[in-house]
Amino acid sequence: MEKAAGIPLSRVWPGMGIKERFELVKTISEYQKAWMSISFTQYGSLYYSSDTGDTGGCDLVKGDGSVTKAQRSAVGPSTGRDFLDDGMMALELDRGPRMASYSALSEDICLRGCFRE
Amino acid sequence: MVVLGSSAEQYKSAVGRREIICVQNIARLPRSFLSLYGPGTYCRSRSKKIAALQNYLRLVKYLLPTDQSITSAFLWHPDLHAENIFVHPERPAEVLGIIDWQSSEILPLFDHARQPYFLDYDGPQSTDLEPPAFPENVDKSDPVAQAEAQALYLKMSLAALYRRLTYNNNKTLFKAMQFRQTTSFEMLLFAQNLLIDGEALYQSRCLDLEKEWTTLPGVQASGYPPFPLQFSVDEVALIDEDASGAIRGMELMQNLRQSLGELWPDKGIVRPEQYDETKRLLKQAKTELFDRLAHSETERAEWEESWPFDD
Repeated sequence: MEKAAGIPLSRVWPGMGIKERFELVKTISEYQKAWMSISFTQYGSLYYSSDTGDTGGCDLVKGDGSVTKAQRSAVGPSTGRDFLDDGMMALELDRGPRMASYSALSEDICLRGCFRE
Repeated sequence: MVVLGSSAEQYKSAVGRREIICVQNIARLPRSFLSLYGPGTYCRSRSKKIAALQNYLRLVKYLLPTDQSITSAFLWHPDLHAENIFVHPERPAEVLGIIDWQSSEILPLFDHARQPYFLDYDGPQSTDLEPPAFPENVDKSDPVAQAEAQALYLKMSLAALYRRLTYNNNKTLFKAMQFRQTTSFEMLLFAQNLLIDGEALYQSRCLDLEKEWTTLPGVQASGYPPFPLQFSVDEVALIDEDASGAIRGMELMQNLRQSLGELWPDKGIVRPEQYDETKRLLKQAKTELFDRLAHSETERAEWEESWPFDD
């Protein structure tokens, strides 16, 4: 973890004009596009593989359908608030991860992916 | 490609099973801040929640999007509000960092594809790509009303710009945002929180769904299977009764919220300097409500039991 640079947007947002606000919207929109440049083959949350005991890494799918391996990362149980809030953290639940559907893949990879679960 | 859809289906079914396990095993049903439940409105029960979730599980495979590109698994920030985005102090359009990633999930894109929270506003919502029209019926002689209208117009314009930008530069995300406007998505979304609230209205939506069944893309893609839910006459009557009770409960909560105004404890939280006053007002409102709604000591005790705020 590291200390975040800068100040929270909430402090300056009310004083920003539409042009500045739109610049910021564009930046966030670009981030969303960047987040979509890689998809995963599992639903869950992201971990270091060293923390999950699963050293196999995880598959990353690019927009062209090519798959690369990320050794340092792994998809593990979900850390979403739907699994944690209101006393749910204490319950024994299936938190995943589980196989995701992934598009833009050749048929053989897709079938292999689906049979693995 | 039919095989592919099954993983999103398995995932969404797992969400329904998770809710059922939680409803069955949680020590006490979490309080709801959406609705006031008690005698005369609607009485929550584990069995009613489970019945709604079982219907969700029967429907889920027909509710999923037919377009595979929006079920792909992406990592996303779940809570893009203005406290989580860090910007340059002198050049505020420059983002330096985003915090609060701990509850991020890798989910189907359509689960993420919501407008960033910092663009949310109170006022008429739109999904249009065109800029909104400036409100016409604003009193020109009232500078406060003018300023408010101007501020709302600014927020609505910015949200429209975000949609236009997404439409132009990120078609897949835009498709996922559009899916969120559909009945199918609402039936997926509302099921995710039935542990806390919404089962009465969910069951009512299930009843209504039969009328639009053949219009759902997932139903069409599966070759028009018959509507998978069946309700007896008695069940229909009970669902209707529960739904009107739940709506009365929501109205009571809404009135309470309005009566507290700025002091309303959103998600149960108030500012430290407002704490005592909020407590005083809630206690007063509680006494007034119970006097009006409880017709016996038993009912009063039941209201006391279900009252979501601390004294």
